[in-house]
Amino acid sequence: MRRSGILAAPFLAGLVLLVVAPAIAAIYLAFTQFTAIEPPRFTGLDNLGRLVDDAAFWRSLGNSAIYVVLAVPLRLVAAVGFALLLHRRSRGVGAARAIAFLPSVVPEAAYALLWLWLLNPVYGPIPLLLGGAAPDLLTDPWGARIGIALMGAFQIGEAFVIALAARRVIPGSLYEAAAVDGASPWWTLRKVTLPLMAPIIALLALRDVVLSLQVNFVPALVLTDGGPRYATTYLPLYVYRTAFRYFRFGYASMMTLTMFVATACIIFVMYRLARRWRLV
Amino acid sequence: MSIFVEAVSKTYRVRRHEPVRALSGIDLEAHDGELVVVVGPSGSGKTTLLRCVAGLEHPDSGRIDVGGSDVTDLPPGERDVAMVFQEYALFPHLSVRDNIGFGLLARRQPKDQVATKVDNAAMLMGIRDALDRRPAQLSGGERQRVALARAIVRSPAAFLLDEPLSDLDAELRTFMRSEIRALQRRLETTTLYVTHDQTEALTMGDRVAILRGGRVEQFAAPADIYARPASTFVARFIGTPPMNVVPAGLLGAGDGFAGLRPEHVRITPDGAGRLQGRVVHEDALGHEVIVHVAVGDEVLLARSPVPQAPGLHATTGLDYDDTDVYAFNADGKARP
Repeated sequence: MRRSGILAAPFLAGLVLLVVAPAIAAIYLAFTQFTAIEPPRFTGLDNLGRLVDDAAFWRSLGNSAIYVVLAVPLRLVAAVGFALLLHRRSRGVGAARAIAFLPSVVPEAAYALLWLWLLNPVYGPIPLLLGGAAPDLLTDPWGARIGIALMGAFQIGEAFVIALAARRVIPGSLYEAAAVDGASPWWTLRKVTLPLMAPIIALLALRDVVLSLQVNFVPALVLTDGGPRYATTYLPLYVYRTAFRYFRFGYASMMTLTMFVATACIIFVMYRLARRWRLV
Repeated sequence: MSIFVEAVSKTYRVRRHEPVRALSGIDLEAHDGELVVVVGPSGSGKTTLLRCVAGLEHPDSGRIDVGGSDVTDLPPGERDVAMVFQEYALFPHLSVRDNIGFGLLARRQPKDQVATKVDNAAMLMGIRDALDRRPAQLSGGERQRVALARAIVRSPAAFLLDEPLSDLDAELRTFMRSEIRALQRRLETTTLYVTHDQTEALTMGDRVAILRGGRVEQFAAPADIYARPASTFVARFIGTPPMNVVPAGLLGAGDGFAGLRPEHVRITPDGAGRLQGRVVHEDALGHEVIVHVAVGDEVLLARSPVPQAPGLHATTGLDYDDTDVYAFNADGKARP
């Protein structure tokens, strides 16, 4: 017991110093006015009141929600789809799996710069390829939202690997039984594969929603800088600006706290749904 | 509906491995309503044969007929056969009801008809109380019944059973054996039944095909196989305990090999009888003893009533009648 305590100490120290303490500090700061120049001044629920009237905050929250709705299904379909395509061992499958994983290994800023080129309205290959048919990706509000979601759709590495493992543990004899019973591939997918993978897919969805609310900071900063017309100012970016550009740390903390509560609510609802559908 | 298997061969090729010839020219048929058992040691190709009939494997050559039509190139779902897998292959996320009805629903049959058929099949197998449970909540025997119900609900032309009893404990296995046989007789559905258990083969089959190294060693009724084994392999494979097969000279039967069933070997007092030997092992079964007697370099098995058993390490005489000796050629084939 004592030895395990000693072994865990470095981690626990890091956890307290870098996660727990800042989190508690942020909760406290959410109820203060704090500019980093003067000491924080307690203002009660003022920040919350201001938040309710802040159109930019609601817009950012909406943008984040739009991002979740666009990106999460896209990524899930891509991850599960690739897993179903690539679960068998045959020639070229190893390379294909590596390719599916690769975009997730590229550092985020470099990946975003790459997409800045790919989507560039003047010389980017994707607009050139699509010609006039496509919306103006990056320069039109919805175009920018779609562009950023599209970019995220290729970063499916971990979800892909987890889905691949989930598919591979389904016994082959179930597919043979289905084949002898005369089930079509589509029927087998709907009645055997997807239901058996459903708990994992639900887990991936849950995790992706949380990540999507928090981790679309870099693309929004590099690709669009939150624009055009605030269409891609997601909540994390708005929080960042409020804190580090306008030095309103107390107000930014209140937004973070709100995001935390909203995320918790979403997880709770999704978990209850998964329970009702007997997925977990 | 009959099943015909004609000159079916199958070789498995895996990269960087020697090809494995699983079946070489198998001929086999099961008449309408007949239960044919395919039996053999592991690696003899019996499961491959069944999978070829089911359509889960495609033979390299040969022809397979089910119900009078050539199904060699048809996918499994279009062959009108039902298969029971060794580990049952029940869908863990579906209720027993949906497991049994799976094939009917997959073939887009009306839901009310499916419900009736599922109910009937469940009643036949005595699992109506379990219809709303999932496979994980069932015992091994109940799962077996669900797997059988899933097969019979479709009224297929043929049943294919792949070692269906091997996951059950001994007591349940004996019970299910007679139950499957009774069910098959009642439904009169042509059945191919694969097992490695020769007792199962002899007790269940109308006819038994004994496979060895991808070939049919003998295909006959159980009584014929017991009375006239076609080779030393069959002689050694069938019977509990199996036939003694020794160089023919030992039993004074000329060249090749000679076979003698343990029940035809008589224990006699030391010095009497045509052979002399020493008891090296005894299997006491309660009602009788299987006595292992070393005669020269060979060991002969004899079934003996308990009081006559000579005891371990005792020297004893053995006697037999020449009419009970089976003669085999040097290549192992039965002498006509």
